Amino acid sequence: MTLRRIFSFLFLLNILSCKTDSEILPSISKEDIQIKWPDYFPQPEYNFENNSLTKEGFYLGKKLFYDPILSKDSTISCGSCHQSFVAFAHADHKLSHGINNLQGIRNAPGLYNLIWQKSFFWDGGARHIELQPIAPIINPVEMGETIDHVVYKLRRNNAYKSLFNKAFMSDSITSQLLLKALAQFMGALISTNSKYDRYIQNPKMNPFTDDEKDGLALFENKCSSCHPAPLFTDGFFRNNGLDSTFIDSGRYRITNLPSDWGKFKVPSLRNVEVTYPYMHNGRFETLEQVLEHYNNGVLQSVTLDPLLRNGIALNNTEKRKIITFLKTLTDRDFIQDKRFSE
Amino acid sequence: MQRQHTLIFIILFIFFKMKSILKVSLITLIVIIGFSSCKKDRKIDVNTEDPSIDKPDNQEKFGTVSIVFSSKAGNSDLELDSVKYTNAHGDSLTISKFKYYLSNFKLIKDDGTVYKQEESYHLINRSNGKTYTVELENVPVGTYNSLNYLLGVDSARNTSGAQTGALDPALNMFWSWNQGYIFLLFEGTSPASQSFNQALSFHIGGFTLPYNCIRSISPSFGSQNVLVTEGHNSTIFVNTDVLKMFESPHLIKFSQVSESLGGAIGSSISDNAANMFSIASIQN
Repeated sequence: MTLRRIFSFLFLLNILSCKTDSEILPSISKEDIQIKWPDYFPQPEYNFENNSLTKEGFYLGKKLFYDPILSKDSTISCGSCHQSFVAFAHADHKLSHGINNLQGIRNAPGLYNLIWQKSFFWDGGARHIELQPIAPIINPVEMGETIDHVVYKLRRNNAYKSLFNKAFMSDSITSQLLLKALAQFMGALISTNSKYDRYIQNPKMNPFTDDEKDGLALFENKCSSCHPAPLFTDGFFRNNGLDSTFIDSGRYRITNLPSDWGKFKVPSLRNVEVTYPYMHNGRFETLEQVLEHYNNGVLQSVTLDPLLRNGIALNNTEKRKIITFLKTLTDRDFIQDKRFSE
Repeated sequence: MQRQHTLIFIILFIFFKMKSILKVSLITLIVIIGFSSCKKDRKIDVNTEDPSIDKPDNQEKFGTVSIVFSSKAGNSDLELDSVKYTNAHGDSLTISKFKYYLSNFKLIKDDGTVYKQEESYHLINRSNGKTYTVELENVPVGTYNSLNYLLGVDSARNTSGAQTGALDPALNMFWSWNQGYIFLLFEGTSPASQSFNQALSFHIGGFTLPYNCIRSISPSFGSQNVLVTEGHNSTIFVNTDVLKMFESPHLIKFSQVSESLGGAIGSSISDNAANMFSIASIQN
């Protein structure tokens, strides 16, 4: 080996050694946890600021999401009421079920595209994706725990000690890191690959049937003022005429404003085919029942949404076509994604 | 890195003009330079404790200010559970819990210059002690004639994601169902209360209109000032009179109002609670 070669080698080694050093630093190892969305989506509300999405953080969040350690008697996990195969809604359950067979007051919504949400829960009581999980953890009829005690249990668990260390380079487990890990998993639940999306991106390659096209046109005409694409919700709180007097005051509980009596958040209709039962209290089993409600079941009250004063006239053919369209919003890739399922 | 590489190329040029023994020595030198320079790079990347970053401008001089909050009921030290007190309306009461958030501490100079405490969030809990001290560090020297802070947590921090330290939700001062911090928590009993077990329960929070319960507090210094001198600590003693929560401008009768979770009553109690704080003395 000539000296010139030795020199080149050493020169290279210098550069490589620098590179290795920089890789010791916290880095974003996204690999199979890519966050991306089509260009017709708006900018998300949550950008993982102060909580860089990493593979380690995501998988820690996933483990926590499916771990009943978050509940008082280790029987209920987030995944108990949010099942991946129904877009993280609770299959066939009207109301959420908690520890000791206690029952909540509202239907567990599907979890997807949460980074575009300004608020969480049917009444919008949570305003940040990282803070949302505190509610089910400490709700006596859901997980019935305290944040303090969950952190205590996690700290005693060697597997979690190591996982938190890998995800956050931190020696201590805190509620902040617990919530950030959960936000990484939940924030990565993105559903943008339905038949509708493929149709919008390339209608020639992925055509709609005539019924689906008719359904889309009807939907745009009759439903999209509250459920606009691409998120299929406007994120507002509205009274859609389910009741004329309110057992559940809805948004009023949060704002104390009489004008918010009986209002609930407009849900996204993506994956709506699988997220039954419907409405904040799960009162409708089928999409046919939902559309019939708008056609002929809207009850009058002071806070009823002005757009629904006269209901939404729909004949049977129109209902069928709208439902045919709604089924194009089901994202099979999302609900079968192994990265997300237990 | 750029400079290091330029250096290497200069050395490379000289290198081929040299004899073998010199070359071997030089290789050793390059290895040392290379690795030590990398170490330096890494230090810059990871080291957030570089003393020059946090130290304020060298030309200014600094002192410290302590603000000592003492929990009182009227003129006496507040005792939990054991002592019966009387509110302004004449209702008898005992107090079992009294805790509150203070945030965004500022000291204002006579010329209007403002000192702000960084990451200024404090949970004062009577159960943890009769007094709580807020330590203000690196306060520029000068004469300060006003102190300002918020009763509660500013709205931004209520909606900025998972927090830690004084704002850790594990401290049970966070509402989970209508999310945000409980700014002021009072629990006790009164024979006048119509609630179950004669309970009094005021959990005050909420940062949105029309029932924003955050209050900006500037307890009067009177004719006194805080004189901050270099390397010296001044102390402001503040009394927090819990009974003011029920006094003025909204007189609270426990027979009518014995509990609250924010809203209109919470907002009224916050108006009252803004009057809890008074300067007992200032030691310069």
